[in-house]
Amino acid sequence: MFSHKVFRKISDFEWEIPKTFRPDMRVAVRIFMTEALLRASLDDLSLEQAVNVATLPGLAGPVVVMPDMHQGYGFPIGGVAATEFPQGVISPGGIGYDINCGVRLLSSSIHLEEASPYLDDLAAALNAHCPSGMGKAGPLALKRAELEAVCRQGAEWAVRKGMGSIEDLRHTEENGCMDGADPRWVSERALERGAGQLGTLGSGNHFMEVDVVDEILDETAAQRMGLATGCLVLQFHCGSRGRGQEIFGGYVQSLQSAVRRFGIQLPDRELVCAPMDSQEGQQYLAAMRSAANFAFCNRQILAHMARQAFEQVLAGKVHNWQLRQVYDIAHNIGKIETHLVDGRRVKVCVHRKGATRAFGPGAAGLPEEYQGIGQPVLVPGSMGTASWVLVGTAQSMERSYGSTCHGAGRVMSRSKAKREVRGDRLRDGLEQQGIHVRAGSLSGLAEEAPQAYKDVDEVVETVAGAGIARKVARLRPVIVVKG
Amino acid sequence: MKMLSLSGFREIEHTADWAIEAWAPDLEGLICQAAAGMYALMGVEVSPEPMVTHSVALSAEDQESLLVAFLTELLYLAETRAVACEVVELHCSDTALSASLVARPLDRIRRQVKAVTYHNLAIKTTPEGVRVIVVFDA
Repeated sequence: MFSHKVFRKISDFEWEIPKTFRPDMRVAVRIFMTEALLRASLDDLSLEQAVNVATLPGLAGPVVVMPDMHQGYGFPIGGVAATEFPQGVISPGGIGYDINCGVRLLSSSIHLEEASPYLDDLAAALNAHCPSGMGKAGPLALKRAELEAVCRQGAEWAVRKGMGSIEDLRHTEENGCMDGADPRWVSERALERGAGQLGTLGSGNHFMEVDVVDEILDETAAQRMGLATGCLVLQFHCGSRGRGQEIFGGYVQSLQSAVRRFGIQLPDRELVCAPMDSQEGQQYLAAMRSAANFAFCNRQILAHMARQAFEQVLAGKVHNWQLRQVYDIAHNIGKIETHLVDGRRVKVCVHRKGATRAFGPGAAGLPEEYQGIGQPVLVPGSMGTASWVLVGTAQSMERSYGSTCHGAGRVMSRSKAKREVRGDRLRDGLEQQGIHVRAGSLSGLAEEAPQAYKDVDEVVETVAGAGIARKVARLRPVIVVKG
Repeated sequence: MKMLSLSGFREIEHTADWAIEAWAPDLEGLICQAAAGMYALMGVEVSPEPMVTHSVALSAEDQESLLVAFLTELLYLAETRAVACEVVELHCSDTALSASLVARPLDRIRRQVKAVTYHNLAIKTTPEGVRVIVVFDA
């Protein structure tokens, strides 16, 4: 489908598929990749999916794809689309099933050397305190009124119950709560599926890691975030669990008829959508925000339980076991933001499907301590490899709707990874590298093998080269907990 | 592609998620094969007892939406009731489906299928019957 002539080179890190490429495209596709990554991306259907997204009604500017892009369903994973508010569409597929899947990072002043004798105990404690894997229930059994309160209040619900601090909320995207959530538009089934899952990691590519700060590339920004070379940090990746999936599935089904009613032509039914100013669009926005708040609360509770594990294992053994929240980001989300598009300021709904908000210095909504450096961006690598802390830039505000990459990006199917990698050998290899592993399933571990992913360093070099993020610190794992 | 039998399913490679192709002489058979394929992806193992009968009645826009709705119902029952279902009887038109199921307790699931997607979903008529590719969110 794509010959090399299709791509217009803008720089070594940026390419474009013009909107003349296919008659149904309304905007161009802007690709942030090196030539090598671009060539590799032709191995799956992700670019075709990006072109499909460029046909959605009401797009304000180009569809943007990140260097970690890979094939999804409907939208590619690693895609960003901005539709004009309120007449443009909102597409659940541009946000994903796991609404507000995201990453939280907490820093410490614990030096690796002082914690080394206790790392295996810490891995066991994190595994015990933070439920992971399929069907694992969380620590709370909430009644309906409390579940609705979680949907409205987000992470603040947990902080009010003593599970965290105001500083945690200040260091969370949207302060841990999206306005406009309305659980009335969340189905009974979605409420039911979320009921037992608050405070759980889940399975698949969700994980909890303790890392050591290996290298600092921006001293000022790192200091502002509390990151110091040789010290431990905690990060975890999870989302809205069954609640988000049920909301997504329900709306993708119910919006099929809306698409016909609004006369919208789609190249893929998974791109189903509705104008934001329609009743259907408003209801989905309210339900999506409810799921997003559930996910913020979920990560707040997990952070609380992880702190309990740190205290249990390290209190009295290291000089200070405390964990301070660096930031919490959403990488599957739809947000109403104002961006500069073709020289005009436009209010848009930024769909980030496997992409991270990366607001530059001075952006509204950042806490005072990050105003000067830009928003922290958390980019976990594949299991056992490096992760990165970046910051947003003025360039990301101008060229990618304040967005950047979200991870390494898969290159190998889960089935192939399972055929080519043995879970027990992978675990032993990680242990030999000094990484303490707790995994609920060896086959699940094999599916997430590092060779199933792109090189996260190459992804980060690309966004840094393109200027849509700046490097702050590189992290190296010492504990991995997976469901 | 030459199919070895009149009805069946097989797994298809997908970079980030799971996919199956199912085929059968008619729509009812296709829905049953897609359900069997989804359970196979999940690595479902069940206990023989106790069996509970369960009935399902669904309506949707079209055949593809019925398929998504039925598979989604099975995922919901697996997650909230911890059961896997065998189809005893299934009838469907273009916009409505009714089924009698026997539900058995789940002993084990090897991997989680989170959701059924509409990605490029189209039930196609072939000389042998009908076939479909279903992509699942993993």
